[in-house]
Amino acid sequence: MAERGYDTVLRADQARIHSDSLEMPHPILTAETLSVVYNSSRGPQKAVDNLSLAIGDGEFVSILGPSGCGKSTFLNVAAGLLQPSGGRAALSGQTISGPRPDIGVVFQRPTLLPWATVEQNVLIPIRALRRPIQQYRSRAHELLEMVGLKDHAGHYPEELSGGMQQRVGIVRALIHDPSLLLMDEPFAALDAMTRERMSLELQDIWNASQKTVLFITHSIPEAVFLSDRVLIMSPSPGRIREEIVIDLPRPRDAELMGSSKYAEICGRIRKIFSQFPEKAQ
Amino acid sequence: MTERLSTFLYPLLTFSILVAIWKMSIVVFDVPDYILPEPSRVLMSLKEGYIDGDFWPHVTHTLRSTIIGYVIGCAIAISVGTVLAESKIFEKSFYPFIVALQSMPKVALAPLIIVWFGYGIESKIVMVGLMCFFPVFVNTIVGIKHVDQSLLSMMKSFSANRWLIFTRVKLFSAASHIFAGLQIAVVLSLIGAVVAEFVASSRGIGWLIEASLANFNTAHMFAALFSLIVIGLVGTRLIQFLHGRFVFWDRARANVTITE
Ligand SMILES: Nc1ncnc2c1ncn2[C@@H]1O[C@H](COP(=O)(O)OP(=O)(O)O)[C@@H](O)[C@H]1O
Ligand SMILES: [Mg+2]
Repeated sequence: MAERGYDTVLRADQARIHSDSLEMPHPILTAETLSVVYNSSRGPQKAVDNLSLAIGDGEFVSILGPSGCGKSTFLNVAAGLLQPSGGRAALSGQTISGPRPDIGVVFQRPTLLPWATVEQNVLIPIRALRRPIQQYRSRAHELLEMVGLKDHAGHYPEELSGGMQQRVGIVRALIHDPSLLLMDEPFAALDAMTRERMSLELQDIWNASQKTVLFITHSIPEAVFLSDRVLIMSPSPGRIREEIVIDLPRPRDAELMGSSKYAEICGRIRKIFSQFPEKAQ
Repeated sequence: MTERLSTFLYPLLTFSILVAIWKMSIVVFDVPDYILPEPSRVLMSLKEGYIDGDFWPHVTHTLRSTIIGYVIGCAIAISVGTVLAESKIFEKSFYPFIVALQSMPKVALAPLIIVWFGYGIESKIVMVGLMCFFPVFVNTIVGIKHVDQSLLSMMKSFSANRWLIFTRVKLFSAASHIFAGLQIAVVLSLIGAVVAEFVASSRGIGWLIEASLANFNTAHMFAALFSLIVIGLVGTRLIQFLHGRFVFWDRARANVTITE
């Protein structure tokens, strides 16, 4: 099984537009010639076309692209919520055909149950996977403490700010200890200041948990700050256009955002976007 | 403090003015007693009815059939609504008939129900249950179907099964709709009870009204009508209170008054 998995990963690797010199860690999430067609009122519409990528174990990879280019569509396929029309997505070589316990998803909106407390919300994946709730209570509290919500376990979502709610969403995605975290523009709805703080926090979480993260965003600075690699996606139809390796040293701090190297990478990405304007906009 | 006082004081003022107009028009237009009784005569009837006690057996009779019918009708409506909302096959097979039944005025069934269930309390309970069924049933279906799709995606992404999604998401998100149905059902249940008593009964508030017609005791009739108003008001308030208590995450919605 593992051998076959690696094989397909190699093929996916070849399909990538830009190959870097960095050694690819053992791939965990792969997509091969993936396409998704929606049947909209205006007839069939290709949202994702011939998308191939590979994400290594422990990597932090961002997919960066303007809204409507198919980022969420790809994430839904990876989360097992949507069946692709062609190609496949695989986790450790196994085709993703439905939701899986080794994946945790963070959505653009917090999507917390308003009638459940923070703790109950966080434990939803445990209930869903029929694992013993009692054994995960302390883990829930540890994770909540890590994101600064130790004292809010008994609160209801409406009593929390947007940033706090999104943190609860992150803790919920981590509670069952998945190997892969899928994040769909998790900070898009937050104000700029909260957003920056959340980026720093997410880096800490990633550092501490050593999980693989696929992070979707339309913010260039956010993608550069957080990622090992940034995959640039262009719309209609959605596909990966370019790959940028971010070789900024880690751990990264707020100061880094003022550095010339950081600005240079952001500038380079901006330039790439301006090079396919008729497709990107 | 003044806010509380005014919410209490203003309706009281309106009520006093209405009673004054009522009293005045009787004097001015010389309205006969059997058409519009004096407010004081209605008050006398109420005193006789409640303090001397003639009304009590009737009020408790109506209350009993209304409450039993309401609880049974609403419980069946929530259960059937849930099954239909969750099962495509059941929905396809039964929904057209239920809609057809809904478009019929249920009170027209009262004589038939008397034939089937007799003159006793059973027929009143059935009538009340039937009246309650539809608003609660429809609201249950709408509530369960209008669940936030992003919450469903979230649950599915964590491998939640249907049962968990139903008990943790759909039931709660339908609660506000269901309570709206329960509130409408309060008034409808009283209509059902009174109509059934009109058709065949020797007890109940409906019978009181009919009996006062026989001897043109309009004051008595008014007293009975006031009793119905009070029961309807208390019932509606109770459901509103429970709505606010139970659907605590959606208080704003609980305070909206819903009419059919
Ligand atoms: N359920 C759907 N039905 C039809 N078209 C859809 C649906 N979801 C998304 N689309 C279309 O697919 C394209 C990509 O959408 P999406 O993946 O949400 O983009 P992004 O997340 O990058 O903003 C858009 O043009 C959008 O209109
Ligand atoms: Mg999106």
